[in-house]
Amino acid sequence: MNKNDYLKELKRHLKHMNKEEKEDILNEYDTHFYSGQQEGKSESEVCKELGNPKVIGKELTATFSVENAHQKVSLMNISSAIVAVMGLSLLNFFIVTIPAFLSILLVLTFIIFTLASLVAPLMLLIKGIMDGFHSIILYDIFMTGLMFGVGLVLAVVTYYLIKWLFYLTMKYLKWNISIVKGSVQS
Amino acid sequence: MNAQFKKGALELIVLLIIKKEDQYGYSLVQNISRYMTIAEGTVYPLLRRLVKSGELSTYYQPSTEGPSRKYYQLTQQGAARVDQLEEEWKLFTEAVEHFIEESENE
Repeated sequence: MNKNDYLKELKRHLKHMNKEEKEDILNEYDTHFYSGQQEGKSESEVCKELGNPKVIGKELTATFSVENAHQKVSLMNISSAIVAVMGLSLLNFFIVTIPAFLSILLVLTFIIFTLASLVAPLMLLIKGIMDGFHSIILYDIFMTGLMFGVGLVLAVVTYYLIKWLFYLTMKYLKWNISIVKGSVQS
Repeated sequence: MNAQFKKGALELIVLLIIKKEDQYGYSLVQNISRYMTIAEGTVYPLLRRLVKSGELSTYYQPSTEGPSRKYYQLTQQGAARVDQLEEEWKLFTEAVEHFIEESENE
């Protein structure tokens, strides 16, 4: 493998990042080659010392994606970060997939219950229109109010749950990157 | 050398070398690989992480020949981090030493 092959392969595994970030990374490796050659090493020797460009590219992508999701919070960025970390190794894949799946399930459950509770007054209104308002008894109004109240509390709980899960996800993903063995294998 | 040991110590080693003197990627890697083998290319992801988390900052300096080099230096936060890691490392090795000595004195 020569320098060009190496940099091309590395570039191929740099994803989700803007051009400047990519250029900056590739420049640094390019400079590394230059310094190595100054010391009389051949391109293929430097390639060997650097290690697998695919592994390095994936680690750089994961690092960038997680940082990006942390700074620019969006569902898209968070998903990219999770996918990037999952791709690091088989171990990462499993220890990320299961908690991610459970977290999504938990959040969805809370969202559904919150929405269901909040639309209770609307349901009462529909019932009134369909069956006539005389059919509504005080008990219905009381229950509807109760449900709406529960819904408001649930909304707050869901909000904090999502915030807390996001914080936890970021920490967990960063920890995942830090346990990748790549940087010491040679 | 045990990969897990190296893994655990690499961040501290990188910060210690930079604490002594600002480093560019290649010089840093050479300093490390004089004492232990690592996949040199993966030091850069670690450096980028340390920059993003605020432990290191970078500046460019033209080299006498070839492209300008990106230097890494410790920030205040990085200096605090290296002290903390060093302290923890010492406690850790003391504990391990204790068990080694104990086993030899049997």
